Amino acid sequence: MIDPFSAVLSTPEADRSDAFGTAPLDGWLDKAALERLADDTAIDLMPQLVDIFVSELRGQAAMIEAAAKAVDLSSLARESHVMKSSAGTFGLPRATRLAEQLNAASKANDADEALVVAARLLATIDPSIQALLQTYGLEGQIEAHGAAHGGT
Amino acid sequence: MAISSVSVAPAGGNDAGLSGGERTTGRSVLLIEDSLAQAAAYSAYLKRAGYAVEHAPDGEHAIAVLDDRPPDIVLLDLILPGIQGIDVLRHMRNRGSTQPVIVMTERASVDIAVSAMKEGADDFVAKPFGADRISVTVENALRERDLGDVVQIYPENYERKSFHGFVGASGVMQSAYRLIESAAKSTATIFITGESGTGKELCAAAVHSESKRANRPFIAINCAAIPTSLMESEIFGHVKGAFTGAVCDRHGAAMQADGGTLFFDEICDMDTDLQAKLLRFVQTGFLRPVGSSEEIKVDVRFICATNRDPLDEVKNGRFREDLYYRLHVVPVELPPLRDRNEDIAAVARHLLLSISAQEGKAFKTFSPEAENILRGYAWPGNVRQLENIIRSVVVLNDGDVVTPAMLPAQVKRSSAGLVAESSPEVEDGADEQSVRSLREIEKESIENAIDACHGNVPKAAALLGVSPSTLYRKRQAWSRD
Repeated sequence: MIDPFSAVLSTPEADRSDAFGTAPLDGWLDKAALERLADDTAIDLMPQLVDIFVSELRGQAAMIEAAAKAVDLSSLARESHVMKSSAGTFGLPRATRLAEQLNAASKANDADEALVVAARLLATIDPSIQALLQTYGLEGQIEAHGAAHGGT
Repeated sequence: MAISSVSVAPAGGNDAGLSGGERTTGRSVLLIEDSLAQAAAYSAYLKRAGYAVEHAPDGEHAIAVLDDRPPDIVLLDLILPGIQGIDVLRHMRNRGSTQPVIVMTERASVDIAVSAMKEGADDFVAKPFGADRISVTVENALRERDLGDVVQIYPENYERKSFHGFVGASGVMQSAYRLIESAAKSTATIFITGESGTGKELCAAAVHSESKRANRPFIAINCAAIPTSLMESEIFGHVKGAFTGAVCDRHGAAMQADGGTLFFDEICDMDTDLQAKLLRFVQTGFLRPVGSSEEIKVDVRFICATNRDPLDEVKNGRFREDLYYRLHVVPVELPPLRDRNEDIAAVARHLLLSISAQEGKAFKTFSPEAENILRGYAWPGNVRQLENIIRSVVVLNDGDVVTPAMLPAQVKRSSAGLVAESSPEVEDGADEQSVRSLREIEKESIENAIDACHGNVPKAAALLGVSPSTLYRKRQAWSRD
């Protein structure tokens, strides 16, 4: 039996978004949500907020990956719970939707579904982060991220 | 590009490390949230609204801050690493902390938030939320707590037997009088709840009379009594030609209430599309009459009322959550008559004198036995039902004392049943098989009344002492059974 999680993760990094469906780079962002966030806080705070968010998102993605490999549904539920709110606030609609699906599948103890959704969720993280960092002129963080993950 | 290390300060750190707001409320918020990203955003929202924010990333830090330097208000994420949010809430309430607590929850977890409110949380807000939502919620919670403090400082022994048309000196009514008085002095929106016949419109009028707007109009509109198709025009008015029959411009209730108070009775019966228009009016103060392209600024104080549980209506999607937050600022709950048993005789005597005068009769009081019967009845229709029964007694009888023989059989029977229930003696001839459920009796009474009125529901409702919307709703519920 093919493990759906490993199957998606073994796809080359650059092609992972294809597992979800291709979209232009700016399709990863909900610009209205980001504009709302900037209006609600301050435009000059956005780079700092995005930096905090991206660091947290990377940590959550790493934990989701580890939890998926260990088929630890309780950790998947916990991490996806936090991610769905943050991703909504920071304008990542695909990550938000998949985090919601992962949360629901994990809570329902549906391991097969949770692993498939986890893989699809992880495939959205890099392009989402890339789009977000580019929007706020933080491209240096993309390189740091690539280096940290052995980059492709 | 180097990014400066801006972090949300953990427990002990102030202001979340983010610059932003200029105005200050002088109020402090403890934000208990394990996601640094969300905490950073929420801190920025609150700082901009003028609050000093301290952040705790988990339950342990939160408890340390609460014990060391209590804030004015707490924003609490329920799902935390280690000590859970609900345990932080219990810790606060067990220690007697009275600061308002607003629970932050996922949209899909409203049930959990409602459970937290039963544990002592004051309100909840669904994530993700924007600055406007959280500012309004925090402001409302603080305002409500401030009013509560004002109520507390009124002398305990300052008792009144009546207040703006309410009659009764019971403890629950003293609290209600004090709350109405305090709330009236602010400009906050009042949300009145209570069963049918408890005096919600009287309460709204009392708030208006005690407010600075007392010499301006008080306009009441019953959302259950007006067909949905006409409601928009009733509230916002219309211009000539807006629809068939609109032969001239007409001011709606909102414009008639300009400078005064606009009261929406049975607010939960309002159509959801219209709720969106009302929300916009509440938020901006601008309205657009039906058929007009112009917006008009109107200054009204909002009061609304319902006999339903508004949170339940929100949960079931019948009442907009954002409108609920805008309107549910100062809640006033009116007690049912059965919960103020000591007031029943006084209310009945007041009504008897007033109705006797109106009807040209000589009734002055009730016999002790008649009063006992009135006290023993459950009054499902509350004061309105008591008033209708007394009117019926006055109209159909003569004399100066109301005796048990003059009271309707239904009241005597139910009252005797309640007495028998609490007595070890079982009434002769009564057996368990003969007992019918209150629901069954209520249904039969309502259907009989409607039949007697030849299908005229408003007339039947008036005779039963309830509002027509109550009858429509109950009949709809029975048809679903």
